[in-house]
Amino acid sequence: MQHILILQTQSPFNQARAREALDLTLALAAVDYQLSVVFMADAVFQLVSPAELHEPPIKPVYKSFGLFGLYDIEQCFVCQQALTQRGLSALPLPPGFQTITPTAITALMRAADQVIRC
Amino acid sequence: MSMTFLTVGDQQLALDKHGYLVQMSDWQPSVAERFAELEQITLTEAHWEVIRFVREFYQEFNTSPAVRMLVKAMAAKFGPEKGSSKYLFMLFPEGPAKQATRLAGLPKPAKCL
Amino acid sequence: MPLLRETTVAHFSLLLTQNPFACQSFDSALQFAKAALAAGYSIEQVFLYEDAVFAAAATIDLPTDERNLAAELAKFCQQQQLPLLYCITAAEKRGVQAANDSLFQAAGLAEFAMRLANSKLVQF
Repeated sequence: MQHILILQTQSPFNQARAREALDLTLALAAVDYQLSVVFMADAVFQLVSPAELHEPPIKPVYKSFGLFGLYDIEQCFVCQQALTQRGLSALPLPPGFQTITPTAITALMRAADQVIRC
Repeated sequence: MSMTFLTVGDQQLALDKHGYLVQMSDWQPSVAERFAELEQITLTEAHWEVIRFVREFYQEFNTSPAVRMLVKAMAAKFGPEKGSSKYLFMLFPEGPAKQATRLAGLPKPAKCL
Repeated sequence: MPLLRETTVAHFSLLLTQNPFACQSFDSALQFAKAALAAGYSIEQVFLYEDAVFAAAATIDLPTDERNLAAELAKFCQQQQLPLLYCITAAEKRGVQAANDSLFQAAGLAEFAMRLANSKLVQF
């Protein structure tokens, strides 16, 4: 089975890029790949629970990370350094998500058959 | 753009071009009953169970479940018998994700997920 | 680090995500595709996602002194018989409609994901 690593780098409000990256992730998960997902750079903002707006201008992706479990995406990581740089060290992560160091991300990239940068 | 409507009692509810409610907040059980009537489905408790389930699914994940997701999620909650596409197609012959989400007042699910 | 390691990969998947008018990624992809074929590799798919789906729009109208990178890529794919696919959902969300005789073929992310199994991904 191919191991595909998806690097999420986009903030949740950079046009629709976070949403389309999420759709791509779920489509890949529907095929039998071993997936790892890393939220790094501004993508860590995707994990911040947004204020409950009545009609948000961009559909939030936050709640959809709960689907990862349903899709058997077991390896979900969040870059520790990106959290720290943005003052989010204490951010509660969605169930099944764990922090990862930049060194470990490099190792993941080395081990993966394919890397997709979103 | 032409607008189509669903008539429920004395209310006219706007539909999108795929026949889904424009305003999710317009939904009430009588909306599901009206859709079912138009799509020639006789609603049973088994149908309602799926309709409630997809509404809860949307609440939790902010996404209308596509068929694959629906089957998996149903299996996780109700076991393999109800979590099968055969069972769901029996209830919603035009496609369980497509039809159940319409009856439940949710947006049309994405095609390829 | 070599691009291809362990087993030699003979097939490439090209994923484009940027607007063909606003940047040079379509030209980069075209050059890559030419070089790959010349070197004896094959191309499993050229897939357009996100803003790259604008390339499939039937109504693109450019002055003659600006290159139509979308059309150039499409022509090349047609000549070489390479599958040139675009995500129909991303296109519909942007109001992009292809012509009936379009060289761009409507597809889903599921097709991209399945074709990826036989190939090495390069992003533009």
